[in-house]
Amino acid sequence: MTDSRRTIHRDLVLMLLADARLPVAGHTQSATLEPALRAGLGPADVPGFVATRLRTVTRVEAATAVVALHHLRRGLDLSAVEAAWSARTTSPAMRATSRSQARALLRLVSRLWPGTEALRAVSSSTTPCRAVVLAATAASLDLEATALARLIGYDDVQTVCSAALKLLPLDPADVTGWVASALPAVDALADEVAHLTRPDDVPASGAPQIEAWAQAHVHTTRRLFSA
Amino acid sequence: MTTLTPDRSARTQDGVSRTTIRLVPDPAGDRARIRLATDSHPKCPVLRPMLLDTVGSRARVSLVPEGAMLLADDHIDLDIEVGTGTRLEIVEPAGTVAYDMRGRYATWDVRLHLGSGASLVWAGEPLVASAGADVRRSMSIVLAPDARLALRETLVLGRYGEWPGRVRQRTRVHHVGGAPVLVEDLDLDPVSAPALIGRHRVVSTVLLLAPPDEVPIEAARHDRFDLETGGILWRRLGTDVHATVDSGCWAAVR
Repeated sequence: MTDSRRTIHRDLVLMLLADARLPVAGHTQSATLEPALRAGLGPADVPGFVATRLRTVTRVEAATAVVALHHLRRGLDLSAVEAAWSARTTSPAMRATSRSQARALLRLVSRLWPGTEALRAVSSSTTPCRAVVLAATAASLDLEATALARLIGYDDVQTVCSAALKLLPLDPADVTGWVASALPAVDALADEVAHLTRPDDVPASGAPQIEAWAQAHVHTTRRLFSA
Repeated sequence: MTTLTPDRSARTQDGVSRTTIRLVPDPAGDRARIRLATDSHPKCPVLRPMLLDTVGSRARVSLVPEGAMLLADDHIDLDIEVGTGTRLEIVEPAGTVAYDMRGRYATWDVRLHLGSGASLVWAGEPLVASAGADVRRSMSIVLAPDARLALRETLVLGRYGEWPGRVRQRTRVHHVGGAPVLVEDLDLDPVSAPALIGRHRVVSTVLLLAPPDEVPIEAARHDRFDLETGGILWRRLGTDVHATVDSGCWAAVR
């Protein structure tokens, strides 16, 4: 098992994890775009929405993952990382979404790569957030911190943009153009957070409007996406 | 309105106006002792703590601005300690307008420490950041897990019909021992504000940190963010102060 894992190129692992076909219910997520559109955002606002998330909530998630990866590699306790993330994620709806995505991901990766120490460490936590489970996956598959942060940034951009295609009458090529235009910001985000090691270092960039939309979405009965 | 702007050219760049409020239990009885102090340059404005009344272990203090504020190079620093088992209420006679700082900035730093069983109710009045203002605010709170804090804050970006000023707000709330409760940075300016708070100019918050049995579950179900470690943040975004500040919510938690 160990030998066969070593032969997988990291690029291929990253492709697998970033693939929307990964059975972790990614299609149920709009990364708060659905309530944002209901509140009045239009198609032209979507690229700005993507950029705002990368500067705020996604930055917190990517930094949390990087710090968790550092802790896992050194066998440090993860509870301080989880506490840093939850104190920076004011919206209970966003915390619940992250944890339910984390459960699905943990179930999948534990089956694909059973017996890795990092996944065992995370499984012992009752309700790990998605950033921590992604960090354990990265630790198990020998991904670098920068790659992990890029994965989180890229996944968020794709989640918003693919949800936009279901919610708005858009040309898929235009939307792919938005994703491509956001890539430099994803790259910059990864470079900014990749060196972080301490829970206190995790940026605390709040986004009150996005958090309010996330809460409002919980209480609506008319929705296509779960979050 | 005519405002005489005091000449602050004589003072040093780091001239900080310090205000200290300490409410400590008196070991001899059930009364509390209060210490109010300020330390500032005569040319600098300062927040003067005025004792309104005191009964037993409770005290009410008004924070009265002395001198025009908030202008460029004003540095307001508040250090407040609410000792074991004491109860402090802070009121403000009026809101604060931060004026155009023409490339300079002002700071407003608050440190709160709440001991075991202590209670602080702070009815903050609006801070209005006029176009051109640049205010760096920090709020650092350390509290015992059984302390009670009710804090109201209202941030207004720009006077009516005006561009937003800049407010960089750093909030750090920890339990004694270091566990984080609420950690948030907001950097609001004319460019970032539309992305961070949408089509709004008012951010109204009520923060309640209290033992679980003291949290009014029914109060203000909307705009409510239940924090991971207990406690609730109510945050409402709006365009007008009177319509955004939820007085019912504040009345329920204060």
